[in-house]
Amino acid sequence: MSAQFKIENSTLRVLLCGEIDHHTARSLCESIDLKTVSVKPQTMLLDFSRVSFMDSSGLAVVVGRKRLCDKLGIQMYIVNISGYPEKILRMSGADKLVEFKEDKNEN
Amino acid sequence: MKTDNSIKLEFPSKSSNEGFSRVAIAALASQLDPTLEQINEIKTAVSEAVTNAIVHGYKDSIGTIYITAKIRGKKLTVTVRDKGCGIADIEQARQPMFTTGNENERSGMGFTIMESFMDRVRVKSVPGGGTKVTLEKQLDIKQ
Repeated sequence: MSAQFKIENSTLRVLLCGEIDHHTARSLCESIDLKTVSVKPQTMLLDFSRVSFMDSSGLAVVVGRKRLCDKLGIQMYIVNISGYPEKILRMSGADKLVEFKEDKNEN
Repeated sequence: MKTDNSIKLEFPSKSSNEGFSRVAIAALASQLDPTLEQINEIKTAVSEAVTNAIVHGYKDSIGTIYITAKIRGKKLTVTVRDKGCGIADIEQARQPMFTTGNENERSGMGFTIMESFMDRVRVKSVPGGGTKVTLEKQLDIKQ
């Protein structure tokens, strides 16, 4: 699992690549938080298009990042999520916490 | 064609084994020609059960996790067993959003996801003695 960061205007795109589980989530969260605090964007996009596996650790990643974004006044969105990762987040009510968006400008 | 088969796995409760264990079970399940969605559901459910054994069963220590998986006809049965601290209140542990773990890392959705992705989830636990989670899924139903 790795996160690739892209900054455009005042939007930070976090492209999640690989498998999100309990083993990979901690360092993933640390690297996202470090970047978020140093960039202080107006908007953050968590891009799930390249997530190849996810369990409930993905939910903890979303909820924790949303907390940090709220604290820093950053608008956070989940983009390009589908399949069972989307099912996991929706059954957990994460879609009531963070808005899901389609987004085609990923590359 | 007889497809009955079974495997046993034993490994230390290191988080680096979460990926390995779910892939091993998925590989066995693939002998039943499941859909990609069914494979993903099995991998996710196994990952939740193994993570529970690592994070809750053995907490800050390293113990052994025992997995058996068998296919009989078109049914997959997986058991994940630890000899860790056990669960005092299983009904409470199965509630959505309940966790005794670090709230920043754990979501409390493990059992809810297992129940949603598998046909049947059974939990047996003895406080101080360990926990056994049994997951069942019928794989002849194409979604």
